[in-house]
Amino acid sequence: MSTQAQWLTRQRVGALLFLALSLFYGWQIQDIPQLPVDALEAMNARSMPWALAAVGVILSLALFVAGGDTPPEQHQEQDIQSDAKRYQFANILTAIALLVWTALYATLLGWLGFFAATAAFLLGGFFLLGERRPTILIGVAFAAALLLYGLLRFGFGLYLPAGSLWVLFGLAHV
Amino acid sequence: MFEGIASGLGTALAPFNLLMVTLGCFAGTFIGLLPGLGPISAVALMIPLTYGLDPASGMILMAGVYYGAVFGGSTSSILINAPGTASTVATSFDGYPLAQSGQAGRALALAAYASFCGGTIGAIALLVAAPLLAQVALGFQSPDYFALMVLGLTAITAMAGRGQMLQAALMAVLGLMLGTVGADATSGLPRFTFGRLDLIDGFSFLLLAMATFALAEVVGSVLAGKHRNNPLLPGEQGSGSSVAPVNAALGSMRLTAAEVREVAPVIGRSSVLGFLVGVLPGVGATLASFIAYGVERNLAPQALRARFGKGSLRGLAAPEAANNAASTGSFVPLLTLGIPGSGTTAIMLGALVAYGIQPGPRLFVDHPEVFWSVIVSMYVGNLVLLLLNLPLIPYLARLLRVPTQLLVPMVILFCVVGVYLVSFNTVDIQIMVVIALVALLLKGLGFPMAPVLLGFILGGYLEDNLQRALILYDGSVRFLWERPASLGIMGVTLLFLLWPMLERWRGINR
Repeated sequence: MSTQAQWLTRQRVGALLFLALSLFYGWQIQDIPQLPVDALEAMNARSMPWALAAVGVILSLALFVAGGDTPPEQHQEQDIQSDAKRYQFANILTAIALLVWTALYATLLGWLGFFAATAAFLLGGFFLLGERRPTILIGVAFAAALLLYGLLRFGFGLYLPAGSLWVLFGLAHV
Repeated sequence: MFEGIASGLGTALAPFNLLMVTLGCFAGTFIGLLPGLGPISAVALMIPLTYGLDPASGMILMAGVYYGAVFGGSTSSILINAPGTASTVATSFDGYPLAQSGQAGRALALAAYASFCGGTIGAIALLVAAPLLAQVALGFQSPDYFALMVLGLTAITAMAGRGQMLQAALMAVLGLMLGTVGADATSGLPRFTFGRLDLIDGFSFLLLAMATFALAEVVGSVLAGKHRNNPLLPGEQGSGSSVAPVNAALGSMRLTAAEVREVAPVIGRSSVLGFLVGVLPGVGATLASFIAYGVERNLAPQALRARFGKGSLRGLAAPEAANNAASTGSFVPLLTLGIPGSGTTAIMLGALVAYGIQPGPRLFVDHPEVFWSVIVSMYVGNLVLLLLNLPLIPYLARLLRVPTQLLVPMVILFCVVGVYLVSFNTVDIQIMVVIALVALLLKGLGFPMAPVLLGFILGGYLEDNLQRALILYDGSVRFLWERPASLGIMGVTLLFLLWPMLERWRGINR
């Protein structure tokens, strides 16, 4: 187990990711169309991508070779900090939840419109990060959404979508 | 030149642009104060706001945000020992001990005066150096531009942390790869579009910058657990316990005449040094602040040298003057050669491109209003920072007591809405989330982010100029040694690349 841990350093994981990316990028070059005159040119639409794929592969391999020198003290330190690890796991979950909620906001924008989606996003964001007081959750989320909506709609004169759900129920116009 | 300065003065002092620089300094200071958000994130957050402005006003706003964020970073370094940016790490060495000893007000005032002097000396030097360099660079042709772009890519040496060179180079390659997505500039042939029409125009710079810096940085702060332990809130664990008293009693902000006499030469020397270091592409404010700190420590009399690290006024003034002068200096390669000296100026370069302005020596000729007004606005910005921000610091510090669990979703909303309002395409938000996730993964694996943007921005110009140079020289790369300018620039590039290795070799031999 420890041998595997020493072998699979962060640098090497990164190197493998970049190697895969460079190979995929290089493989995709064949899909770039060519013009009849390209054979006569010193450089065409494929030249730069070829060079980048080659450099990417070389650098990835170099990083893979050089990437095994994580000092052993770091491993010991990491083992000691089990409490920190528990916190880290909770933080990772919160961060992922926040990103998923941000992606969902994009969907909510279409359905609920700018104001309601923004208020919902803020409310959910506050909740995910640990805010539990209902007055703060609702009050701040709606006040901030209203302020932003007013600023964009009436301050900058921007058109903001009403939300297809409200249009469906006849509560708003497109 | 004097006509240019007069025109720049007219543009920079126009009421709207004065408002922009004031707002920029204020917003930059506020964002820079937030631990974890530095000038890069601050400038990235401003991009959507500048889209509706004319290029001069947009650049003035972003420049104001830049040095406001550097100043804000110094404030959080002094008050809570949490540098908002790497360039203010050296500030915390003596600023925080000063704050702990009840002299936070004096430390903040000294930081503001040193920043003002550093920024002003830097702006004067910029006024002289930029047009001279631009005049020389006006004779450049495609081969020289190609060499310049290669030189610009060496900026990754500064963006890479210790032992991160290969990672930084790979990230620059990733940026270059992303830059090739879309229609080829010369032939118009689609590349890596996977048959999707919405990829024909390539990736949006705004989306990439906001996702990798703004969104990834904020979510990164959640990953680091900063939402659980806001050091700015009283009653929290960690460094927070010392913050509440500091905020409550900043103390006097006055310096004695003897103290002014002591730090004045330090500020002068560090400003000149900072500017010269900042001009070098890819070196930047961080190195300038550390060099200035080291130089002043060595120059200080034996008795005062012992104070360094324990609350020395010299130790605080030196990095503050140097990092501001270097921030100004980094505008020299940006405005004259079109190559960014730092991650922040890389974002500003992208903004220039988004405005349809070709960065490089022609900027001086084709868009003198942008060139000169940005330079002149530096003076105004420094004055605004001193007159407006210093008295406001106690209030700004109080504003930061907004709980992180409320602040983080609002900053995320600001990033997302900024991108959405440009295209009104909700798919952009989802792409942004995916890019931010990849950015977080790569950051977790020890890959620096700034080189991606550098590669993305310079890639198009690099390819375009190489193509033209090859046409001019019948498909041969002999221009690299036949043209004196190209040869000189490539020589400097080699020096930049080999310097860290030389330093390491010298270190081993010692």
